Amino acid sequence: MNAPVTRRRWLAVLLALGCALGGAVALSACGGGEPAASEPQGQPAGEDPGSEPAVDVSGATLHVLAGSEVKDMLPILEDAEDELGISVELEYMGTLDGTEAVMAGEGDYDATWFPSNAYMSLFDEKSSLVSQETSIMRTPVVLGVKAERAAELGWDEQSPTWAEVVDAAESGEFAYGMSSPVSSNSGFSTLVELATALSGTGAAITADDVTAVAADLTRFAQGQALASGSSGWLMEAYDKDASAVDGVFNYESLILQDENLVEVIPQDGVITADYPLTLLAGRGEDAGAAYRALVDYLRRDDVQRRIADETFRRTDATTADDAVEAFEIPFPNRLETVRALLSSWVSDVRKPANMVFQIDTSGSMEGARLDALKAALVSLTDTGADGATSLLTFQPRETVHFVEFASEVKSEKDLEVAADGDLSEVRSYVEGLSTAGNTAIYGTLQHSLELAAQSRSGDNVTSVVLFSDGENTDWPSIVEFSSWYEATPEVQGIPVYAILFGEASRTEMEQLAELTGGRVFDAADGDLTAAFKEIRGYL
Amino acid sequence: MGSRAKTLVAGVVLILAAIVVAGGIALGPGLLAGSEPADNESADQSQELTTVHGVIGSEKESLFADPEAKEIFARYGLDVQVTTSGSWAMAERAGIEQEDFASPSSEVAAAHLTDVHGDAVLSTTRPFYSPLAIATGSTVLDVLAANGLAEQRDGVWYLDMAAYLDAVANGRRWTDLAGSEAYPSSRNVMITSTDVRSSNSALMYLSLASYVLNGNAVVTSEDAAREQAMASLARLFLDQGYSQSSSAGPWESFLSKGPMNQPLTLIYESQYLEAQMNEPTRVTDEMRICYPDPTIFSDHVVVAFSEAGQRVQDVLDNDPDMARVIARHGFRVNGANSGAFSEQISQAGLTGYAADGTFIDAAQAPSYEVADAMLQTIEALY
Repeated sequence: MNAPVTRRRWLAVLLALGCALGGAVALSACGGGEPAASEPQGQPAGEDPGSEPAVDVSGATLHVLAGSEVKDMLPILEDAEDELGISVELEYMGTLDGTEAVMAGEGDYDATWFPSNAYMSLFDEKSSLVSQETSIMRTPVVLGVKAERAAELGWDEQSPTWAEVVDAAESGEFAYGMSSPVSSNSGFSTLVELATALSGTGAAITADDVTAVAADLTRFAQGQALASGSSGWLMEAYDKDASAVDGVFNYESLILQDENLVEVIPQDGVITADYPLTLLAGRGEDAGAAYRALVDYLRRDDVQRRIADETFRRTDATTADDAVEAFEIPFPNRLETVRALLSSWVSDVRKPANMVFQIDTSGSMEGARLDALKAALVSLTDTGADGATSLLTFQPRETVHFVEFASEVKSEKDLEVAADGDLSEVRSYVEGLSTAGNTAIYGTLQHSLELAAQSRSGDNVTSVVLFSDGENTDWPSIVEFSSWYEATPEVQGIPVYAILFGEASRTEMEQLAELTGGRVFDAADGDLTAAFKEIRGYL
Repeated sequence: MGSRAKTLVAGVVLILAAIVVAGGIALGPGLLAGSEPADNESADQSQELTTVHGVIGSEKESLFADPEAKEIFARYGLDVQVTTSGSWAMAERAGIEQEDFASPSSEVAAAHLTDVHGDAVLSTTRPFYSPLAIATGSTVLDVLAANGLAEQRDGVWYLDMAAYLDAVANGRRWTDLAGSEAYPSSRNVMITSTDVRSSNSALMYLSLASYVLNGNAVVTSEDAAREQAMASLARLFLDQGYSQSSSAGPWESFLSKGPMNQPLTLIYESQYLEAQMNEPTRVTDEMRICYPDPTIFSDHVVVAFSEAGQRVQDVLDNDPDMARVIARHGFRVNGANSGAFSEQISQAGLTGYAADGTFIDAAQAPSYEVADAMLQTIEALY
């Protein structure tokens, strides 16, 4: 990029000369008080003439609500911040959740950067809430299959149809990992791809089609052996222990980063995420200017090249010839269709969750902490909620075991959610919790895991959620617990999802997650309800 | 010309422009005035550029941002600042009549604007236009041709709109077509357009389909429009599922994912041409441009609200250098400089484009009221 930089210097000199000589001349470069020569030298003029930096945006801050996988853009965003003098603050949320929050006018965001605005487009509010959107990069949601398994299935030579994928999932030939359609765009896109292809109409699905394909979706769900609340963690969990599955549904950009996975694109097609950076309406001129400067930066030739090289996504720097050929599946254009599909998935189709909630009500939980815990658990029973939030509540067919503990197990409560989804019994149990005693985490966790193991089957997804606000006070310690775990095969493979809250030990909780293939959820900032909702994507 | 080369040329042009401006400043207004194309007004032009504000359709953004276009405007003492808006939405845009000009991308959108702000409009011109086209691929066209849906005449591909609309009405899939092994998609044969509720190019497509389905005649009554929308037009949009809101969207998707992914993509001809001239590596060997037959023209109308807006009209209408820049962005030029388009095409060595005057059959758009009746009927079905 030498030439444009040199050119800019020349231009700056000429313009500065013009300013000096013609005092009365109102050239824009003089009028700003900042001669063009003082612009950072690393800033080449964009390929697109529209990206000529016209406005000084330095000092502006852009608050962006983004999908979690946008994290891999941080190094590029940091360079953009340095060059443009702006600050980009990202906050992460799942696409569906985040979209609904923005459409409801919640939060104080200037922009969004979800993998797709397809879901947002189903809301009438979009036209008044969105000012401008620009696609930055693209990646389809595909199937990544272990190389040897792909060869055995013949999928490396000939792509399967979605119907063949379903048959293989049902027969046990193909066990897969997939993120939650309610929490994560990649899981959601997989579900839409599948439902659309199976509906066989050749057009976007409707609510009627959802009913028609429910039986096929149930067959497909038999093959799910790994669940996740986000596409990034799905890959992490797969990398850590790939033994349970033959492949994963995820973004092509993530599949390509794993050399042991073969990219398989079902014949009927896939859905592509196009990452539109989206300016929300009424955010003021500074935010608008900072947004446009950031878009121009990200769309610049060299930056598009860098995005393609570093994140494996398709950009303006890649051509259609570089891409693996795929048909594009249409995305439904009615909100009720999408809601019907999601609701069918969580309440009828997918393997039901079998959850043990191990809840600390020791003395230190007294007061505000216990209130926060109750509110968080009650939020999982909020059958009156609408949108995606209502799908995070306990669902029909699911089983929940509460294990309340302090120095020992204080109370237990088993519950199978009835077909009508009535959760009043859970609510009254939760509201009756009270505090007393020490914190014997690991002794009671052994009990919880045994309980989980007893009710685990091939037809459910079993996990343990551990909530404690303090360090372990009683025997056994995590060391003895680990030895017990290693020697107890029937509890292995049940992930423990630990919530970090109060004085809980981050180190020990991380050890625990590592040992069991679980994950730590940070609620150290106090938002327990958000943490429990996030966890629901994993159960 | 490679994209890097284009940057360099643009750079040289800017330097020259800067020399002209700086030189003019150094040497005094008298000398610079001599080099101005417009004569008597130029004495003050060299001292101060008049800032002109306009609202334009997004497909003209790169034209107005082109450094050479800016330099030509500067020769006339103009600094043209634009913001973009959907063409249809311009009429309702708050304060639009305070702008110096507006440039929607269709006659019907311009009529809407004149309807609402008739008193404020000083004059209306049509400096350039672009036919509606379809970005597609060689494999796809061969399959369509084998089934009587497309044909090539004099090296130019045409999609038979009547046959296409019939295929849509019958819900035909690609796999129902003879020879579909080459393109074995189980999806319906369906053009990918933008969202008809927000975008001009989709509105043009709607107008075209309405005209063809009505036996190549414009629908003139609102009742007939509603009936036609309900019976056949709505499906063209509803069955696509989610569609993007501006014409840059489907085109960018096509460029990056190719014709296998998105076999028939509705575009303005100018988009394809602009990419071929300015970003040739993105247009792969497989990609083709095809014209709907009949086609429909997107007229780029300039509506002036002030004297300064009329000066912009004048430059776009009459300056031969500007005509060349307009053509370089893929638009076909009206008036005295209309030769600029074919010059640019042949200079760039591009083929597959219909020459001026070869569009025997062009559809007419319905009136604003009839178009609105269709839109409202379709909107209610979403």
